[in-house]
Amino acid sequence: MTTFVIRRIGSLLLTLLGGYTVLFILFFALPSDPAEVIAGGNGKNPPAAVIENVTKKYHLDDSIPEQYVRRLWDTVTLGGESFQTHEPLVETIKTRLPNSLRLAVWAMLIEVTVGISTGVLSARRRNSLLDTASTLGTAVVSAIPVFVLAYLLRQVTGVYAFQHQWPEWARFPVLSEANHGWYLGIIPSLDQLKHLVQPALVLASVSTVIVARLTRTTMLEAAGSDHVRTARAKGLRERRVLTRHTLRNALIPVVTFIGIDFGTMVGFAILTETVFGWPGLGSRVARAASQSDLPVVLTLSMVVMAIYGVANLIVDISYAKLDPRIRLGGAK
Amino acid sequence: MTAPMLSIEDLRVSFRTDDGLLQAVRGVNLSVDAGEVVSVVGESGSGKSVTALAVLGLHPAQRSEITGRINWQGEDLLAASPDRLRQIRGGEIAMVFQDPLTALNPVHTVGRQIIEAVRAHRDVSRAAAKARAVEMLGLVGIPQPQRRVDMYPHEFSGGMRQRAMIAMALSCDPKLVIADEPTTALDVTVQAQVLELLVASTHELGSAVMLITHDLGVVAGLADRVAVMYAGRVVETSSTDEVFAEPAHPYTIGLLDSLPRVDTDVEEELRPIGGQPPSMLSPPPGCAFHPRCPFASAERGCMTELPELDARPHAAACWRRDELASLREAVTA
Repeated sequence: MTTFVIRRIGSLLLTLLGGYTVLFILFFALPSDPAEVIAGGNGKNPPAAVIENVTKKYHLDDSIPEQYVRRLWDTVTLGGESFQTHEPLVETIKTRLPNSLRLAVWAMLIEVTVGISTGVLSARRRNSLLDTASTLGTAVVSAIPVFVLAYLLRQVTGVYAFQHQWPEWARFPVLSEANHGWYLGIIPSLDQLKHLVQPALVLASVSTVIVARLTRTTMLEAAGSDHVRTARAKGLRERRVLTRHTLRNALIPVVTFIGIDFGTMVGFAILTETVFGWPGLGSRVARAASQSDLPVVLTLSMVVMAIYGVANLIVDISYAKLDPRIRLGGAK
Repeated sequence: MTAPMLSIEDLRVSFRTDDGLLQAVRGVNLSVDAGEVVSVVGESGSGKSVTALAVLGLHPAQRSEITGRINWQGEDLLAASPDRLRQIRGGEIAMVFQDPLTALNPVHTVGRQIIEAVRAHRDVSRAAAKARAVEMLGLVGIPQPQRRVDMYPHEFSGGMRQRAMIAMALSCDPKLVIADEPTTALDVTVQAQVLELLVASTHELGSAVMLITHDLGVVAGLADRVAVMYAGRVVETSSTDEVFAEPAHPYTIGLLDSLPRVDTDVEEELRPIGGQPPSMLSPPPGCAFHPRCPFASAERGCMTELPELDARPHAAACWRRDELASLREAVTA
């Protein structure tokens, strides 16, 4: 187990280095001069003196290997600052990472509760109205791109609702304000809840329908297995047969999916965060990428990759806990 | 004569399939007395397992139609409430399934699975149930049961797993153990061991056994009585000795002729039964065995009328039963 974790962390570090290198090379492969973009950019012609200053300040005239090492050091130590806003990256992470985590945690809670219970109910009442409805709902939700869903929702509850004087509870603020109003850092105040609900729902939407489908399939498969028949033949109560022998086995692949999905939601909620102006990591990286803001892109991407990697590691460990037949590589 | 512990009367089980109604069991009569070992023998698809599962009400209600009577110590199991059925399952009638690898839940330890069986029927503490699990694992010959009890099914060998299944089945002192092909999925080298263990340990606890098998060979030394099934019906039943000595149905004769014998010096040729068992979607009219029967005769009604199991102590369902001896001589001569 320990050997396994150490080896996995080692390979995660290598992956991070690879990711860093790719991003770094891509940045310098761009046709535009980074100094020019920083100095003004967007087709304007900033004065040569300014460009020169910027080049000096950010050591953009150093050789590429020198810059590679310097940026790598900055990334590892979370030093450095944004080319554009000059905000130290430590600060950016401190304010934005918690927001990303909050959004992801709540989206995951929706995914787990709604997704799993819908899946279990559809499997239990196969071909019932609920099952048919959930099949249809799944098709609809997975067919709508996330950004369309997000914009529609925002337009209805954030713009239309205000224009037509909908009751207070049906009106939702258009832009998010996620830095305040949390109890224990994670439980939203009533006011914050209004900001949180929509991005959380949108972020959870696709994952939730996938979980519902997956749970339905694995439940049906488990319910038809021999050991469930054995459980019944032992005289166990139907409830116990369902929880201990059907659901318990059916959830193994579902848990795997949810774990990996959590990593994705923390780091790659770019569309949702951008549409709702949620101040998390995703929206910041997206903006930085369009501004050639190299330090922000590099450092935040590495943070996201690290979280994704750790989430995967936790999935693998819990997988071995859930299914005793799985041995972790390296464990003897 | 007192009524048998279990008596199945005119049991019919059909399944709705996409191809039509599959008549898996078509009027089975079968009984098991207390402490007795009854073997149900037949080819795959003859309805043996379906009969066994029907006794415990384990067929999915949506897809199956079940009629007849299953009398268990005076009550009809087909009419029993779900709660009562649950008490009987595992508590009074326990089951050992064919493949212990799939029949045990891979994510729980063997001990936990026995413990929950015990606690489903007895109001005992977890510790007491675990002690019982260890005791049962020891009884079925699993070495170091205190250690083994905390292991997972995949850490057991095939034979060990089936022993654990038997331990689980016996853990609540059932009056009847139904073993559905308990050794078919096992290595040949341990088949005999496990079967003997099953019969010996149930004997020790005074439980009756309904042993379902397709192998007449395993029956010989173990069963008190035999019921031979073909195409969803019992075609012959009597004491094991009588069935072996004087088979009264052409199908049983065919089964015996296809077995190698070690109790005679005569070098006999093995004769397999020709043809295929019938499709249960549309079983043949008359005696279901007639397309494969060397003695089938239109005058006797073999092709048109279904023979009932006769009322003799050595019962058989064959229109030409009394002529069989002479017919056989004519064939071999």
